[in-house]
Amino acid sequence: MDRGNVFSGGAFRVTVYATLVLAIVFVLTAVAGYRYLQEEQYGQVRARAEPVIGMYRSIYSQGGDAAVAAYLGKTASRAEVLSVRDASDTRIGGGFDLSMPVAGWHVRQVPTGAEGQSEPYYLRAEQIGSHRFVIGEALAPLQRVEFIFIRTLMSIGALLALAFVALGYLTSRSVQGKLEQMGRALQRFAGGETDVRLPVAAANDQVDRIAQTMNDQLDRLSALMAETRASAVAISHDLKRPLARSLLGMEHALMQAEQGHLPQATLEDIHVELTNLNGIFDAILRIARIDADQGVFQPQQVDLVALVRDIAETYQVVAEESGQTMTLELPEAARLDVRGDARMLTQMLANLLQNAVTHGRDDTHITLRLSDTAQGPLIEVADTGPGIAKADQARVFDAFFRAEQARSTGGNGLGLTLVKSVADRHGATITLADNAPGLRVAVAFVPVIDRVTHAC
Amino acid sequence: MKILLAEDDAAVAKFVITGFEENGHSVDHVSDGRDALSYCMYNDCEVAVLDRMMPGMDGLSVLKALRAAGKNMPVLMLTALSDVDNRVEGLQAGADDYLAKPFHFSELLARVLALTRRRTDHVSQTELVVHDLTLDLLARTAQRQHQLIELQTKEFALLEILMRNAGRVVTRTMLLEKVWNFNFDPNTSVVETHISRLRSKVDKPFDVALIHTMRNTGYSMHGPR
Repeated sequence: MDRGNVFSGGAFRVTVYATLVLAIVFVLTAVAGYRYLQEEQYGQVRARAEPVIGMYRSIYSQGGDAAVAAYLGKTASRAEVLSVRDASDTRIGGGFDLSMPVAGWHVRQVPTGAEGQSEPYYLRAEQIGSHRFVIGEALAPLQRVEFIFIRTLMSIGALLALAFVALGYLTSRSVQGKLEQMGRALQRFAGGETDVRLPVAAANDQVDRIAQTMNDQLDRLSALMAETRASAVAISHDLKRPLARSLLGMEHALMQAEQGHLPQATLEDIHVELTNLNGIFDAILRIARIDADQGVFQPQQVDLVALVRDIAETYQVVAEESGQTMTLELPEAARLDVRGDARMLTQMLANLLQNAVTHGRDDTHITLRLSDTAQGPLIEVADTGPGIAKADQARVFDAFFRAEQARSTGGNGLGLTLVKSVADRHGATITLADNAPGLRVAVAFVPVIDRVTHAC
Repeated sequence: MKILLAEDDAAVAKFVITGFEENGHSVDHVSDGRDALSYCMYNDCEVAVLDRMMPGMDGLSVLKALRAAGKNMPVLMLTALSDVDNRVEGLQAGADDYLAKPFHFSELLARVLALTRRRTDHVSQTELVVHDLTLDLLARTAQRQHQLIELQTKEFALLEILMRNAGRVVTRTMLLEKVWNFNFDPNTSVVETHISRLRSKVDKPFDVALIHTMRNTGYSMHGPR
């Protein structure tokens, strides 16, 4: 796995940003916390000094300087009292010899050893009677607490940051791993292994869900590829038959000519075969063009009432000549519009009506019905002919498919494929139903939404 | 009749030229679009048959240039099958008819003859007559030997086209296009059944048949010869 890809992965980058934000929050917290802690500690030093000063003041108010000196003389110095001098500026108590003329609290370096060493102290001077007191504490213990505070905070921060980055790396690596697997699987699919699918982990994260969606598409794609392959075979097969007959016919005609006979009849047979072949190409190209959407389809307002009436007039004659009957049922409305291509729709209806006539028997009755339903215009072609077996109904729209009982009636198996293409192109739904007996084909259109009217 | 054929496929051209010549017409052949244009600009021909896809200049551009130069000879456009649905484009550019490849020569011949015929038609014509059959285009009625013949819409349209082209062949495809507005072959007997209906009304009750079937091609209307 390419580490660079992992580091540039979204998950990793997000955790890096999160870690940066965390660091900023930690620093701000540390600064504020440190200030607060320091303030609190200094406050406590001041609070501890207050009773000591109060005590010496009360001794002084009861017995004056002599009582203070006597008290200092007989008690061990209190830790808070760093230094005491009398009126003659002689040190009389405390562990240090400090002269502090300034009132108030200060941080001062206090010499602690002979070699000029010093330590920071927090202290203040206080005049009680003729004695000058310096009260305070060393800062070292306070600083140790502060140091522990900062160190703890930093350790937690560092640990968290490390955990974040590691988590980000691992997540990114797992995503990267899945993506690389997907990439490899797609490559193999493109290479022709149509049964390869992307791995889908049980985690069901976004990547898994996308993998699942892609797998569904791959299923459809491989089904489509199989279908295309099958129809290419079917096309070749169906084109080869008239070609084979023509070639045989040509040979026969040449032989007849050599023997001095007129090959007229044979040539006419060949002519029929080649005309059929041309018809198949015509239908294939037509379907391809309808499906292809290369500017062929320029929908216009088409009045289905006029269109259906016109085609009915033609096929009524065709049906009657075949000993069949046909009735036309129109809606009450004077016109019923759809957006579409009148020529395509005419061809669709012609194919459906022709099918009913061709596959029907002598007494077959055909009904062509146009109705205005709540869902939109509906065209139905119903006949009382032999119908289509349930098992075959799903496949009749496939190119070159011919149901068993239809094989004897000729046709190239592309008529209903074209019907389906035209319906699809118009956004219409086509359904087959049992007419008991016979077949009922229903083409349900979507109603025209008159944009102009709605805009006003 | 003098015909210009602009077609770059030598084999197709050979068959078409032979066909026209056998039917008593003379053909000048060019295989390049630019040659077709200059030929039409400086020579007279009664009909031009232009292939849509040609080297040098495509048929549609040749046609547009011709019309822009005021040349108004009838033009039939030959086109790949897939262009058939774009016939409007060709017709708008000034083509008089369209024929998809591969075609039957008889179809081409019938269409070329129909084109030259149309030139002599008078637009103001209100009545068509073939032998003893009269078609009144205004009243939309037919009459033969003083008998009024009732015709359905499609039957009338069918008869009108046959009579306008009296003495010439009208192919099945031409009828499908002009009567039914079908730009496809419905694989059916639409034409045959309507012709049969028409015959039973126009021909059967009378002694002389006027509608004649031309084998493998179409129909022709004429009186006894």
